[in-house]
Amino acid sequence: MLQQKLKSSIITEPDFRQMDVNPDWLQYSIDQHAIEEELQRIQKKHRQLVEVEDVRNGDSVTLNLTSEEKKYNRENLTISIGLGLFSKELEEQLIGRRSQEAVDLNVQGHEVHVQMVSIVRSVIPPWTDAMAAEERIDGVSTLEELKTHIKEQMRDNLIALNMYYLINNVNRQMAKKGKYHLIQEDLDLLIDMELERVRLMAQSDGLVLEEMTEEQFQGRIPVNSYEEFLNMIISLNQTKLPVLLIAMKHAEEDHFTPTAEGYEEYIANMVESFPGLDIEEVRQRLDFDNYASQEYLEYFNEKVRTYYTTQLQEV
Amino acid sequence: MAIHTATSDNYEELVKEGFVIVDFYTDTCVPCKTFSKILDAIEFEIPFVNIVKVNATQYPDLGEKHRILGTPTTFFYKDGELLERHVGVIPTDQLKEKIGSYMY
Repeated sequence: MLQQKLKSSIITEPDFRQMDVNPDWLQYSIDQHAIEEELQRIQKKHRQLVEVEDVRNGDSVTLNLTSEEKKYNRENLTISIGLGLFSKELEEQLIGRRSQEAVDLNVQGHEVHVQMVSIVRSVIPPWTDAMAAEERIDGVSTLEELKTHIKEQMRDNLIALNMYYLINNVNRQMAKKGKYHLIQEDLDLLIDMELERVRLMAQSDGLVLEEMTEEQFQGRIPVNSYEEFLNMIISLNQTKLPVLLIAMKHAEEDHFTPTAEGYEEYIANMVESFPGLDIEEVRQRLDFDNYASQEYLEYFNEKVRTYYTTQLQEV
Repeated sequence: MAIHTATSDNYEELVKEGFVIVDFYTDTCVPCKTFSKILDAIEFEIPFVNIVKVNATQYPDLGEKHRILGTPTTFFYKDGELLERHVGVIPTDQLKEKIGSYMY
């Protein structure tokens, strides 16, 4: 049991409700334009391709090109007008041309004979409730419900981001403003737990944590070497240990205990998220205490989140 | 051409002809969702591009066979030949440039 293993203790605990928090983290505003953009993205998935007679910007045009220049000597070439992926100059000269038309053009100094084959345009149909239903979102079967869902999702994301910064800040203040009797042995235990977790994740990627190069750290962990990573973990755990002590105290007072079922779920999630890991090895290396330490911290974070969420305002 | 969903059985068939973009993703990966939206936009603008999506959680054998170590991973094929593999989200403009250079 983690409680028996840890010898550190709290001397004085500050009140998490009394921390100095940035007022910006307690406000959020929903961008109406972003909602419209998301609706348009969904609407575009239902576009229909229709054959048309004249070329406009954005159309997909299939052509036969004849030229002494290899690039412009192609059959059944399909290009998207206006993107400039094949030849911007050619694309511009095709606007207004008609299906089946044949024309001689000069493209970047080359004589090119163009035979238009077909012109296809994307047409976005008007919104229907069926399109909203096709998104297969629980409780969403109409456009209005979809709009509400998108707005709620955006609000939840903004709040989650604000709360992430707020909780980290509150935890740092809790560690700094409280008084604790911290034992090095406990710090070492938390550092080892963290290292073991990251070692497993590295192993899933076919890497050995202690041997990872700057390039291998890139995109995974914001450090350039294992030594730098170790220093980061040591520094983070100096804040983590006092917060864990507080979290465990709150959990005990509130009768919260991490469960064996929760542990099994955690192990299963690890194996699913990091393919290539053997479940028995994961269970051996990430013991129950490792899981419990995270559960206690999350339990306390949730208490902080619940308290400060009540003070949130939409502006 | 639209977006196709690959399985262990049809993968080779889907990539063997023409220019194909393959997106290896997992359900829980947040950058994969961002990249998926980029691919939706590309598919709208360039409807004749072939896009194949592979759920690496659902088909771990495909992930293992193609040595997928992180998601999203994107493969660019031309007539069955793998031209490039890229790990991470590719911004829209960069993706268009790659399509232009490989397709034509």
